[in-house]
Amino acid sequence: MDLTGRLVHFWLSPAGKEALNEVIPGGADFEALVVEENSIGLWLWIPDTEHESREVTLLKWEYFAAASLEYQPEAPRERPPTGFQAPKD
Amino acid sequence: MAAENSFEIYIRGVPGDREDERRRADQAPQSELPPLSGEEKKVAKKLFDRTEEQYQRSKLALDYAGQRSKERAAMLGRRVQEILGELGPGYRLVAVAGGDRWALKIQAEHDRTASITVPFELVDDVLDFGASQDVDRLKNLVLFGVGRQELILKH
Repeated sequence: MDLTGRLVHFWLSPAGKEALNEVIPGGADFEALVVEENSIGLWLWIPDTEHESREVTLLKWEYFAAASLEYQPEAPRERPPTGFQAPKD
Repeated sequence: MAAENSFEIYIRGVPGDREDERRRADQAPQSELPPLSGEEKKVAKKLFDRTEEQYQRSKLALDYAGQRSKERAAMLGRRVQEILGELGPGYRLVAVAGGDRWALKIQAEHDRTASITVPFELVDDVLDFGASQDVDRLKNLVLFGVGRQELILKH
């Protein structure tokens, strides 16, 4: 599942808690917007109380233990027919 | 005829052609085949060992692919304009660029220019399926890019 552009709730792994202690003080879990993802990890915007910060934080893949997000399977929109007609008997 | 866009479209590099575009190019009448320069004629023979007509048809398939990329850039741009329209008059889409990924250039408030990159897969999802959660993902990236992140949690 692609995460870019989604608001995701993360739970840090023990290594992540230690590594990100200063960036995310006291928080074993937090919500963030995934701004970009690559082979190293996820670049996150972590909302502050005023939502004014534009700083993004790299969360390495190994630094989170779990993530949850709101996901709604949706049926694709109806698309116009291609024009194919089944042969008549 | 397609409406003219109020933003620029740039396609970097040559987008890959698809099977249907190759087939369409293979079936195109001679009159539609693009002309070849002297250099291209040499390349066709020496590097690819192809006849001039085969090379012309390959070139036509790439033209179709380029046209498709421009059309998708225009569709993406119109989607982004809808999002910006909800923010008020202080925002304007300046350009959509395609290449190894999609990029948006937006004139934001206080004369600030925002550059936003959008993954291919997300653009495909938005344009081909238009599921609301994917449109919301695009919207989140645009809101963050133009500095209106306070709205991200509200929609």
